[in-house]
Amino acid sequence: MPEANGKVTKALQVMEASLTRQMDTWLNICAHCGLCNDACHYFMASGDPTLVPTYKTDRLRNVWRRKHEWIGRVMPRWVGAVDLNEERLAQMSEIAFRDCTLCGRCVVNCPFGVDTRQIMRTIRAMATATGNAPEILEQLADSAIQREESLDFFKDFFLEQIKDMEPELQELTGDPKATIPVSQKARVLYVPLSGKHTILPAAALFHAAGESWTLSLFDASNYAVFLHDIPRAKRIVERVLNEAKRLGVEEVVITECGHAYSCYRWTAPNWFDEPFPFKVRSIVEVLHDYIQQGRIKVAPLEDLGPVTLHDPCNLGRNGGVFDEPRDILRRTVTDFREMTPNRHDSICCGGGSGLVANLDYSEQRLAAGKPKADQIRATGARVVIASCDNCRHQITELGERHALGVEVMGMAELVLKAMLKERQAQSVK
Amino acid sequence: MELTNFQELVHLIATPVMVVLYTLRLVILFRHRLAKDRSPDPKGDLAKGVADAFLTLVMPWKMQSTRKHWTYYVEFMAFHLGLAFNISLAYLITFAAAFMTGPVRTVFVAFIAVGLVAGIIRFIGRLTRPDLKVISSFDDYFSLFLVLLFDATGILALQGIVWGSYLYFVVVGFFLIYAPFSKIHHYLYYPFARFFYGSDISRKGILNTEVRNAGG
Repeated sequence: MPEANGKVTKALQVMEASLTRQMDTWLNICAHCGLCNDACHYFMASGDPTLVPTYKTDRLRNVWRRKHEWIGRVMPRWVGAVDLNEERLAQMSEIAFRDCTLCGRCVVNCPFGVDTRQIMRTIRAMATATGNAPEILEQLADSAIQREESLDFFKDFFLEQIKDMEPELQELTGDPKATIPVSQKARVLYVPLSGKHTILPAAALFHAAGESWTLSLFDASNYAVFLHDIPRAKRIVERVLNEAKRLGVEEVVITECGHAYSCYRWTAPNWFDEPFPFKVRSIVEVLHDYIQQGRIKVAPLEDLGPVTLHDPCNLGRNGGVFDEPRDILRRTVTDFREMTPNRHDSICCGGGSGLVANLDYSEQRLAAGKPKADQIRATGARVVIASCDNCRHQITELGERHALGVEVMGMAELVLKAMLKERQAQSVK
Repeated sequence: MELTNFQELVHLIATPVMVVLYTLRLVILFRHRLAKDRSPDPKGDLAKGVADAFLTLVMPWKMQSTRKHWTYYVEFMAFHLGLAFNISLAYLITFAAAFMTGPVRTVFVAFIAVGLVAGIIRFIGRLTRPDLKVISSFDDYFSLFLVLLFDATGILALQGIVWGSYLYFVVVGFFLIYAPFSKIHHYLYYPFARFFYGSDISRKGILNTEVRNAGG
């Protein structure tokens, strides 16, 4: 039957374009063994079999089978192959944006290492190309691009906001001349998120470390990454890339934001022909260096009580930052308690990959966060450190829903507290 | 037809068909472009990461899924070892019959029988577990059933039962030709999948990290 609007054709084109050697391997190799099933926090929380990773990836695999698998072409029902139609496209789009945070826990628990994240990203790309992606993510991605296009309009307002933060910075640092340099020549370009909480603690710590730094005019988040819309995602990265090149910085430091870190550090370099002329690190790695090098002195915060650490998926399992936050915690708190499991086995909080931004899926997101809430409760911690804004938001909401009685804090905020405590101790002496 | 001639005929037809089909699969795989990761400053060692990814097969404690479901791992190993013995048997019994002495036959029967039991457990699991049923196609059931039949008839052939041997080679012929079309072909992609996995997570420094307090 001819298509009315060409959506199916477009979606299939996107699927074909995604068929790399890796993707062909992942689509072929899954033996439906089910070993990844209870690695997924959605399935852990609900027990709903349609939330197991393979069921979700099979939405694409079955369409691919119909096009590419020998038996799938002639006897589709035998292997579960199906033709893509608009209804299926809408269904799989919803599954990709609602029922998977691309956390990758199933990947590390798969005996083959099938990259569910990439398969689900392909579905997201198909959805985005056909108008089936959540509108809010589209709007947020577009507004990031718009910010650069109308920079003159935004700049004055932004500078004014930053100026307003300076008295607080001066109070924190004890330096009446402390300022927040914005988009100036420096060694480090710090890319924050919108909001004082990602700017002020970092500014105080950069100041204390005597760093040559400047604040980016742009924020780190990249909602096009969640849409898996590479041209738009590239455009968003390009804003920071151009700024960094213009300022001649040696290093771009990404604020505590999981997807921004994994995007700038691992993914975005593959979108450009030229290598980035700067290094990319997370603020967590940088703070760890400062503490190790004695550029920031900290005192343990005894009064915080038991503290636990959440490994954001994009910083940990998908980014490789495991040791630095732990080392910082050992130096800044007196009762650090690991969650079980942790590091690359850490359970996703359920807020990633654009879920937090999408109010339509709030109920599913909070329900899927139950295993993380249980993990936090089991530690008996009073404070949860999470170096990702989405995770912080989600864990805060989980705390309210499950009466966890925890405070959720970023690493920069914690280090700042520990530094101020050390200063106070020194001044008493 | 004499049993020996029948065995040879089965191999003469089925083995080349299987080889051609698998070669075709590899050609298709290599016609796809390789997505190269050009992100700078890898955190881990590629060779170590890839080696680690391959060794996970024999180190079930490396993955939480196999730590947690250790009976599944035992079942998996028994099933696949039984299958490996049985595939070897199909060739040895035909082309190196002298090798199949009494004690060797006993070892083969033991491995294939254990594999058969593991396969039956897997089959029951696929029929009864809702999270497996929902992801299973006809091919998933049939491929598993075919392996069970392959194992059962392999044991009959090892007992020297003539009709069992004929039946075994009918199954062998069908198995060799059907495998490249079915889910059984997944093993062909195993080296590629583990290489891609190992290289990705070694680049990001995710492998070789200890799992502290990981009781889960």
